[in-house]
Amino acid sequence: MKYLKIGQVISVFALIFLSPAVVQPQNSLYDPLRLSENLEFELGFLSGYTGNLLNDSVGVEDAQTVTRGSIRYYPWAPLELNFDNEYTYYNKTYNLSSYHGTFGATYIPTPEESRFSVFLSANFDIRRYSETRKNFNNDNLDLVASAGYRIAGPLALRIGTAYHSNSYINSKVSSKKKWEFFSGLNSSFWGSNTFDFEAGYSNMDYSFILDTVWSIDTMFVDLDVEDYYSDGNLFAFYLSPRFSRSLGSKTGIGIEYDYHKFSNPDHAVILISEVEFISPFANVCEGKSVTANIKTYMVPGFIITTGSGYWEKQYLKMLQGDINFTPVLFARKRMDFQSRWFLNMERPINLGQGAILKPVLNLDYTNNNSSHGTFDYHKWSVNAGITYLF
Amino acid sequence: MSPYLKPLAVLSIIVLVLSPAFADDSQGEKTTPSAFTDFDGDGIRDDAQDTNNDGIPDLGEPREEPSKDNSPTETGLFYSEAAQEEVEKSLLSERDKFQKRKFAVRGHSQNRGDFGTGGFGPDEGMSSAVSSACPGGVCH
Repeated sequence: MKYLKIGQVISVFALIFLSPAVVQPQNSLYDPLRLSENLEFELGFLSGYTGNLLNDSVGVEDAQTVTRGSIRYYPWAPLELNFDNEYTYYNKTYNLSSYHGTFGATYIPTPEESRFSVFLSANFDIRRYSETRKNFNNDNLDLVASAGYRIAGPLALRIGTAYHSNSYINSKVSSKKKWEFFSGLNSSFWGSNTFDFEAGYSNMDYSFILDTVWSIDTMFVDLDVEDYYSDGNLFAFYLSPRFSRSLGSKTGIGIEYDYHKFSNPDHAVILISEVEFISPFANVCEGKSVTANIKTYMVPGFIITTGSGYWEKQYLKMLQGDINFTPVLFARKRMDFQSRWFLNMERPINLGQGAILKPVLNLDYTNNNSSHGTFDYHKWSVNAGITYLF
Repeated sequence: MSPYLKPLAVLSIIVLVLSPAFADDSQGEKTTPSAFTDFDGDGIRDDAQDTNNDGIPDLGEPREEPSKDNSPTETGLFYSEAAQEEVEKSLLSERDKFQKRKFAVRGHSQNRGDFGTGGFGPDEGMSSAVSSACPGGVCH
């Protein structure tokens, strides 16, 4: 299975790499003069502090530093190849430190003036933790294909599909594969008002414990927890209307409503350990949310964005406590009510010849009330960083 | 909740939507002649010109007209705008050409679906995982 995934990635890249050479033989990909102007580098450094790193009632304070380096190469107008590296280091919770690497390609075959446009992308990324957290090491494959059509004036339609494979290399039950299908429309009216509507459907395969299992016994029966798991598919759909408009030429607002609903979650139970901060089910939930953002260029030289949001989330049924002594029957759904606010300030500095320095500062506040006391928390985060693009 | 709160909210929304003068004071300027489009939902017109590519639109600053004195297409008898555009296009790097294509697909290169709630929070400057300090570097 692992080799199949690697094969898929190689096939996609081979197809993309070979196609320009076939279609445009006169375009030399290896001309050194063209090489330098078609390469882009990004270096980033960020340091921050959060009052509740693990998003739970314990409230572990910690500081982190992130270093990032990316290379993007454009061998041909429709193609971008990207290679990103990022390392996150935590001061106190240092065993949570991780490396994240991504290799990907984006292919846009349609010219910019075309009414019909196509977008294709493939990304493979890995995340690696220290030895003590190696159970969370994971490999991901993301594929996206979408198309859009501008019907007339400000009306545009879109349709697309996305595939995501998430493989926890040291755990059999946590991995998941997901297909998404989406379509939407975008239209501007009465000057600078814009309405955007998107609807979609997702299908995810996952492992869960059936709620008809009486209890999990790993002490007196020669079975592992994994032996109690069943495989199945979780289906979900979503509706997302959004309204946005400008407030003068330098400020804009956007308001979005999202409604997510599972269609068949009733008999699935997962362990509470599977929804903790870096676990695969940490944000698998249904519910609704309202978010609002304001972006402004009013302060000369700055991009300032602020936003606020409210979420009602309902998670899958969860089994809390010692699994050997807690009947599966006691599993309950978790309900969270979350509000969040953020402020982001960026000050791009143009250094000439295409080089840009981007200092950034952001503040973030989250308040989460949960039916499971473990997830009652609030947190403040503050981060400052700088990115150099050249 | 006050009985006046709901009508007041509805009224505010109607005033907001119907206020063209307040809406976009750049509409009369020649720098952005096309119809208003906002595919990313930030409320700011997507095609606002950004000459120096720093992420901040020029917003009404006068556009720097290219010198036409020595332009071969200008001095020739058969000058056409299409030919001028073709010349300008040929001077672009592959990177610039890709960025133009990427801009054209901005309306459908991302979607809002998932099994959870995401896509909210600071996304400027650095990657989302970095800027919102997600635990373990993982943003959900």
